[in-house]
Amino acid sequence: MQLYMSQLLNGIGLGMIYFLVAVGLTLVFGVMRFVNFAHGAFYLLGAYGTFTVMQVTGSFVLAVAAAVAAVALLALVMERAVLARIYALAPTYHILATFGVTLILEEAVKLLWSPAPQRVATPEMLRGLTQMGPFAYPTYRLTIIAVAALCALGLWYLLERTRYGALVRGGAESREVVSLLGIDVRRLFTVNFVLGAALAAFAGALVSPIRGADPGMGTEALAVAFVVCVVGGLGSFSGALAGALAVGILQSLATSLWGAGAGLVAYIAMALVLLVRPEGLMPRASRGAA
Amino acid sequence: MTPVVLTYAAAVIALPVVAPSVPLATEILIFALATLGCHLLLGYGGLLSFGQGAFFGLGAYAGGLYALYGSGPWGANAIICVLGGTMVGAVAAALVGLVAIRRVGAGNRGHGGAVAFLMLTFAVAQVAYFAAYNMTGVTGGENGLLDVPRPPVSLGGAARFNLDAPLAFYAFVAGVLMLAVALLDRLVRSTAGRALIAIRENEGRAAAVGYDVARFRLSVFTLSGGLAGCAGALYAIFLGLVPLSAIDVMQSERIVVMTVLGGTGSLIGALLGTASFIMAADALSNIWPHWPLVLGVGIVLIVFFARGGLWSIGAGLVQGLAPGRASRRGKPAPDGTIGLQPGARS
Repeated sequence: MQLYMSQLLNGIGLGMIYFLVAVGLTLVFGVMRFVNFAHGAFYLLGAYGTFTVMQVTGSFVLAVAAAVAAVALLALVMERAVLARIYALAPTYHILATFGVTLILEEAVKLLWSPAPQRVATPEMLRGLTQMGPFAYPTYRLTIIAVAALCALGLWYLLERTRYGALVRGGAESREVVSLLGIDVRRLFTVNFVLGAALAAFAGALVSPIRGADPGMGTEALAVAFVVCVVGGLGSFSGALAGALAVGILQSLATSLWGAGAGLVAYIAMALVLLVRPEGLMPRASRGAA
Repeated sequence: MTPVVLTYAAAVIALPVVAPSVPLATEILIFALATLGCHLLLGYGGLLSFGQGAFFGLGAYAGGLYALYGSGPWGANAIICVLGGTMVGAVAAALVGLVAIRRVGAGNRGHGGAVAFLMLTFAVAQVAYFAAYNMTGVTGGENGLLDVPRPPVSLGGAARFNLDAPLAFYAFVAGVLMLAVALLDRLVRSTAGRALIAIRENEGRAAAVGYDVARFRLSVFTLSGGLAGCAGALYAIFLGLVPLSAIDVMQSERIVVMTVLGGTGSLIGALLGTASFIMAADALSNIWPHWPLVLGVGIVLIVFFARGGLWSIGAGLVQGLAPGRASRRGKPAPDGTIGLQPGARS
């Protein structure tokens, strides 16, 4: 029982990390109809940024903040230098250009750090176990779940209760109408893209004490985020949350049953979901004129 | 003989001389097969697949396992090895397509469907890699499938041709490639090829005039998987082993890069892209291990300035030199750009 309980919590934690990565991807796709192949690289850089700042300063909080800020800045530059030039092109080109950027960033990581994995120490305050009734569970993992849940709540508030959120949802509905209302859609795109990148970097930073940092982690996260987005329904916030938690929990429970096949189980389950519901779990409610 | 087939024939004859070595020329032809599949899917199906490496890898393991364990009257024959790899790749692509192609027409606005297809195929690439990594009993895991022998070509009876010499094997691969090119060239000029272009240009309209869009796309995807699997099987008996890298995500990415680099304006683009990529990779990786950095910059520049790839650059040059000759219209995507035009919405 203890095993399944902790596997369930592991799954929720994993799912929340997936959510943070996938929600940025889905936000950017929802509003901008833009598939960002470099999204996994932001997650990767978040982890490496945390590793380096942590080594220099020794403070985990500072490291996370610095890594997220640095990635956000990088995303801003990338949006201005690359994305702005290709928005008008077909999605295939969005993918190719951001794939090119991914190659650059991943290779830069190997060049600046090393191809070997790096370890990030768990912050001292959060080491050890927390006793919850009969169960004991690592404190740091609990913290991740709490922080990511807070993040999700904040995002929900931002999207559903603020003017920015209204614009994002409106932009997803019809970019043309929003811009006709006098809103600078380009600025909305920039803010949205940087926010998505920051969330991915935050996820990478949070997860680094658990899994360390290695050059392949971006691709891994991107594949999962893609599946989560498609299964949840492209562009859907609640779909991303539901999809991410489902993938995380499935993967984690499968690990305890059949170690080697854990990765596969989640993917096969997702394929079945798509066979039954080709539009995903929670497709975006509106489907107006294109 | 059409210009496309002739060009391929000329290139196949010239490559062993032009390329730095015969094995490198062989590698180019093998990957050209996989690139042709991706090319067909993108240029005619309007779909970008990041999962071709999975079918390539599956074909490689199938071919490798056959060469290792195949026996009896159906054993030790390079032709069966290649056919087997092709079958495995095609069946795998058809199965993936049943899920992923359904998503294409799933009523998403704009390009949501093609995007979902890309995302799912990328995930397939990742899954295939994980599976190969973990199934050490079958695939050899991280060490790869080792000591794969190179079966001879057997035409029944006593007619056996040994492929151990580099040039003999090159000739065999060249034969497979020429056969594929001749078939594909016929296909893209047939009614089915026209229908595919119609679907790529405007899915809604093609469906309205009665084409079963999903079935056409599933067929093209199956064909592209078969080509990737065929290339994989050849790769296995070419190297004499199947490394884990044959099926990793990078393999899928490489096939996409070669396709885009060449451009989808003509089937010749696939050869151009493959040859230039493999020769550049061979030269650059010796100079600087971090050469993918240069590759990344190159891809961004292609998207900025040369969306038709090398083919359209070459075609543009030829056209510039001979201003009197108008370019031939009616070819797939005459401007050489990739499908999914922004205006083509259902």
